[in-house]
Amino acid sequence: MEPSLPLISAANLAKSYGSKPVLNDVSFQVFPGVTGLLGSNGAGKTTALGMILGLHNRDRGSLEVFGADPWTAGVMAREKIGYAPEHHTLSPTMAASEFVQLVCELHGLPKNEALTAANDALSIVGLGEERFRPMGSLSTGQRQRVKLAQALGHNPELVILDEPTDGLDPGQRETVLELIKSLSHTHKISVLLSSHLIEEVDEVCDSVIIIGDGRTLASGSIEHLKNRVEQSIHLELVPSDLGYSHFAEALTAKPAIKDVAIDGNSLTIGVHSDQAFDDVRDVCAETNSGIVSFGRRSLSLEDVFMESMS
Amino acid sequence: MTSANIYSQGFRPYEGVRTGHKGAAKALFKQSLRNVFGINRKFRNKVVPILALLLAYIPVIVFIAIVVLASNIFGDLISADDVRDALPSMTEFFGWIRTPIFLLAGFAGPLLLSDDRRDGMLGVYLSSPLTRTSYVLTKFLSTLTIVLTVCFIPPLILLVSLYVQGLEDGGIVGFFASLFETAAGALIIGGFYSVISLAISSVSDRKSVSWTSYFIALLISASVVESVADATEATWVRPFNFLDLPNELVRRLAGETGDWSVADNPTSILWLTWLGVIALCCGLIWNRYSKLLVRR
Repeated sequence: MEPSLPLISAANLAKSYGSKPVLNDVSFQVFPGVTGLLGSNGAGKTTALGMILGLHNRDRGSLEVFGADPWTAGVMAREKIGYAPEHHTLSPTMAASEFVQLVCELHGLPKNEALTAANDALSIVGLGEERFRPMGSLSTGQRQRVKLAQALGHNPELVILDEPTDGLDPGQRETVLELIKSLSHTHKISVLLSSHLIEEVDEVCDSVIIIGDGRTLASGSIEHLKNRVEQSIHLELVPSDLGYSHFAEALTAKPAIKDVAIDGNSLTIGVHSDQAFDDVRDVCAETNSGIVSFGRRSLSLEDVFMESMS
Repeated sequence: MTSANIYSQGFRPYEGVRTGHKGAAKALFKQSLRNVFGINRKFRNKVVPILALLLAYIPVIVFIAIVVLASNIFGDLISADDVRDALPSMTEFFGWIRTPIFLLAGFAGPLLLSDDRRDGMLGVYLSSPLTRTSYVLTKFLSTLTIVLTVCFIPPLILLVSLYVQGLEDGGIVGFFASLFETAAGALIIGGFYSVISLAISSVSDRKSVSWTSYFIALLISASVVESVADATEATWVRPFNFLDLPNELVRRLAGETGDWSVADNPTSILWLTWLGVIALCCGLIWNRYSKLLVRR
């Protein structure tokens, strides 16, 4: 169950760059936990994050972050937010440890506490002696870790991560995703994760906001959204030389069956209700078709995304 | 007996009082100083500031050596008036250290503004409790402080040594009057070059372009204005020689006259030009940063 007080509330946000609209009508709420901001490249995710951070103003709509408008009164809100930008450049001459300490001091930690917090955060993300090297000499994976460390070092209530696994190899990616999960579960820091990678969001997030064409296409808990997507049955039949078209015709005659897609001896059956399970069993018996496997097709976030985009 | 070692203390979240907006500005200020002076950076990042400091402090060291030697070792041979006459006045001393001031201001601005936009550090700063206004103001204060290390501290050291050795008259009142003139002179010169450097750096994201534009703008203004003034005798154009304008103002403030005639270039016109350039540069910076789209 979602708590009653959201960290972020956005309603009907719109933003254009010149004559090019980026966001038309975006509404969502972010609650404690890990929330994914999902959309294809250029969907406006980074623009939405920029508005949350008060980096740019909206053309219309309302936005509250920790109860304050980030554009006009964002100082207090930003103190509670850690932000890891998408780009990897950062200051090439500054050592990673100096950078993380600086960000901690920028967010209100006194010097000595900032030094301690920086060392702790860099240890959590797995950076050892590399922390004393200039950031220009670090690998992409190491820079991603530095960005994560500076985002969480000052103990924010919310961490905003923009494409945090961009440029990482599969091993590094898995480590970073584990770290993101632990932020919420172990350290009780909420996370807003912007990504265009569906499996990444599905793996670590409790909730998701899907934006596309400048609008919110779906938002809510991932489980809830999966349940909203039309259910279907996966059926694999014993191979038959007669084909499966007669079987499909018999199925579509049933009122609980919406449609049937055939791929070899595998059938994906769209259903209106759970009565369809009985109907499939009956048609198998009537047509004397052998069943290899039969069950509700497990839904992924990709199904939710595709359904939202359609 | 068993033993145990703690290899990781884990994450110790900070729960204390936060320093807020002022703390963020202070952190940015310190970082800007570290950045320009190359502290914790490779040697190549320290070359220009070291060169500027050498150019500013070698003259003062030489003059103090003259004061000490003349007063303490050759005191019987040389009179105090002769020693004082051999040393530059405070306004003349600003002329001696004009190159390091010009150099350090031109070096600091691009490093503090152009680099932040190019590296994406601006987005990191503005996603902290800093605002655009506090960011720009802190960068200006940082640049001014950096420039004051070469345009206020050296003349201050010289001033103190002159009073300590009894080469200046006027007692405590005279000292504070001279101190005020020195501080005002440092602010007039340092503030002028700092604002021009920051204004130029607010336009280009490439620090090499900003550096070149700054040096060319000031050097060209001096050479073109002096050429026009010499060729056409239109000496009224001299206030547009931005390389010499602040030093001439400092001379006027001390009641001295330099190469520029007071009749052709009244002090009020010099002040208006100085203020106009500063207002124009501040307007440019404000316009740039209030409209700047921080995408990352």
